[in-house]
Amino acid sequence: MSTVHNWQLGRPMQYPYDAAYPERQFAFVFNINRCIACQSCTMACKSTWTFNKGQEHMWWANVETKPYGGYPQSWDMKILELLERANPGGQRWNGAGAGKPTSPYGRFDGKTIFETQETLLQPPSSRVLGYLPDDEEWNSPNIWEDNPVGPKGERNRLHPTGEALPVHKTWFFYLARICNHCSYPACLAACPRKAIYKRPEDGIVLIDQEQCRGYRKCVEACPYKKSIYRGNTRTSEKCIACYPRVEGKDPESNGQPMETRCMAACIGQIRMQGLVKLKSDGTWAEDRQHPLYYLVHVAKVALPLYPQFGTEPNGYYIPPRWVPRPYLRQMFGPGVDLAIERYSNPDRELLAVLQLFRRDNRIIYRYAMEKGPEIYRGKLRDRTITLYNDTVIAYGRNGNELFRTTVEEPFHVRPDKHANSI
Amino acid sequence: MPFREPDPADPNVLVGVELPASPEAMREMAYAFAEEYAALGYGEEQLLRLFRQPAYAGPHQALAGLGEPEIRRIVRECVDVYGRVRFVVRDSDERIVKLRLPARPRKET
Repeated sequence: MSTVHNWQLGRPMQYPYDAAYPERQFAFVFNINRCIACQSCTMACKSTWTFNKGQEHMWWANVETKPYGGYPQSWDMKILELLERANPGGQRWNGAGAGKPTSPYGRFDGKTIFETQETLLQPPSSRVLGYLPDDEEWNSPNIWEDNPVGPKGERNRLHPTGEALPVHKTWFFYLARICNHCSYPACLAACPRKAIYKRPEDGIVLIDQEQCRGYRKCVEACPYKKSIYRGNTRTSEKCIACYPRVEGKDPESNGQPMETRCMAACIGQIRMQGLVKLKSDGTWAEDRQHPLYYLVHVAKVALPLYPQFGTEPNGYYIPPRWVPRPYLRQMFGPGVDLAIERYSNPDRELLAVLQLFRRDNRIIYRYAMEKGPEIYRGKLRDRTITLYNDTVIAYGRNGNELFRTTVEEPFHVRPDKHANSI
Repeated sequence: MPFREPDPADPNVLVGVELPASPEAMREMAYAFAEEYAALGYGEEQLLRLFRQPAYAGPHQALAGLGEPEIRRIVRECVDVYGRVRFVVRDSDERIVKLRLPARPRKET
């Protein structure tokens, strides 16, 4: 075991390999407040990468309904329970050092999935705490969720009110997920054949299909359960972050790096993906005008998913503001209260950066703001909303402008019949 | 019928998990969707269609729970704020991309 620094936990951590960080890291922000589970991302991924025989149960991108849904079923509750059994009552955060770049959320005093060997929950050969979901858990990605189905015996028809399934009369939200391309991947740590690697240029985690022998150690180890076994090839497969697009090899992009298929297909415009600069210690290099750096480290509205697992996931979420805080703190760590406070009362720059989501399929490397006049100030539910005619400009890899977003006040043309009514 | 308190240790007892919930959570969710999509440029009718569509279970459940008049009021309140402006996206000149796909080989007749 080596000692590495996990900035999301604010402390050093045990990991089976020495630390090695890419030049830039694939990362993304999902705004849960906008997700309506249309599943466009899910199907974009499915129709691009996992439509072959043997991949029927395989959803590299999925959207699940929380708190009662999950693919595979109850994946997060199961791993949280394993960690609790390994360290009863000890999975706690303390606020020490919160706000520093090396510990923005304070310090996690509990154990990660790499630090439970001595509790002997698993055979000594296991490097990572995990479990292997059974076939039933993989089979139905949205079972027991609020998806409307058609009346029995009638094909291609939705139930008119969507109430064919039991309705959960409580709060819920939709959690869109892909592989987090973690900085300390559990799948990579667990693979006995070293078939899994992290690319030095963009941090994308891939399984070498030539090397994989389908031992499923990665499936067992990944706490997010995003490594999936394929029976007919007897290998495991996972999200590849649409790496040909990220490399700029898609003919549509003219050589520019493009966002993944799931990002591009998002009709709710909840997603932004980018490549962030890393320092030699694995923390994010200061890049003030990078939209992801701004959302994660300046505005602090985007938080990692289950940071306590210890893999340093590179997927960040703007938490849903209507969900009880204890649940959100368990899922996104102690930064939740600040994130929701800031997101609910956005400042001028945050409003501007939120306008960059899904305006283009090319990856944004930098943004700039040209400030304009205030055009509206009013109240919405006791909150003061101020809108400005600011222009936000997005730049690509080579510093070239991709697009600019601005605000227009609508003008109304008086109809002919009222032309002289003044 | 006699009633006994359920024993969580009894494997035959269905153990439910209590979720903390505020009665206002549904309204808050409806406001969140209405605000977000109004800020994206949706008008009142478009937003109401989103809430009426049963395939979008989140907004639709808010409509079922709060009723259409209340949802319409929430939507109007949000559109009244965000509908005052329209966000316009202007692509740079480079955006006009010519696809260069490999030529399809001709079949020999």
